[in-house]
Amino acid sequence: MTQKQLQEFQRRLDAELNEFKEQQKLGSKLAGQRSQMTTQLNENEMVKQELVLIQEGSQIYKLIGPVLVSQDKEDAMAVVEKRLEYLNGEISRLDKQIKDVETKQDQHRERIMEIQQQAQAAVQKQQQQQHR
Amino acid sequence: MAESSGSGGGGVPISALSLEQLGRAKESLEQETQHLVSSLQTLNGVRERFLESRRCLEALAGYRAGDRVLVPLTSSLYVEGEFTDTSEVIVDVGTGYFIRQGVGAAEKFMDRKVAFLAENLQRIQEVVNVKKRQQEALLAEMHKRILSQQQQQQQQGQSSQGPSRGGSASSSS
Repeated sequence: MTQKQLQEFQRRLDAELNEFKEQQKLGSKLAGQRSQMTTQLNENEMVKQELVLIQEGSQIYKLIGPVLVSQDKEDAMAVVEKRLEYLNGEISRLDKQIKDVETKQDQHRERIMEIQQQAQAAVQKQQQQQHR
Repeated sequence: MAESSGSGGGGVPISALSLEQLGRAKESLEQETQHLVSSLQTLNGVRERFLESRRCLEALAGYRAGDRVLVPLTSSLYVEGEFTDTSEVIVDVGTGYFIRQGVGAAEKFMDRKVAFLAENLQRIQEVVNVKKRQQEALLAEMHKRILSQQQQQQQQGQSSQGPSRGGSASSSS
């Protein structure tokens, strides 16, 4: 295999490796976001449960800045429900993106293996020719 | 980072893996276990806080409106104050919402949280136990491999020393 061919293999390998690492970084970031959203989702679920359980006559307050502002039970429920909807939507969106990233990672992995195999085959062929 | 490494756990028998793969699987398990143990500690801390609040509520039962109390302004500065109404408290339920309710309802809230935390603590503890057992299985397999590798090397060493008595002849070790 000529020097030029060797460099070509190396170049293709490097390109695939870089893309693979990019996808890995993206995957990590998305996983972090998803985990954060899940935490918020759980917290809001708990608040919703508490709101459902409160007895008549209990006053609800929301912390806005340094002030506890009185809230209507229906309003509070509505706000929490909306937030839950939003969070669920975001989590599904993130899940799709994560799946995409994983597929891309698999593709890169395959191509890297292909390149390595091709390089190996070329080296072997050259060795056989030399030993003739 | 995807924790779904298939190596060693997802249906591939341990005996089919190389020593290197076993090592990597063990490390990844160790990391997961550490992460879980730290979660356990955090949850335990939170549980303690709720228990503490619960105890405060019980103590509150001993006070009536008009009783004197020291109110903390900072961690080292207090002012004298007076209880206005000791039958109701305002409870932080999360995401910025607070509920003013009777002490009884608040106590039940604390109890619910503590129970919820205890349940999760147990579940996580079980996962930790499973992972520890997997780690031990991997370690055992790794020891087996290393031992058998050492034995193979010893045997090869002996067989290549066999024929060359007296130092002459063909063996070129």
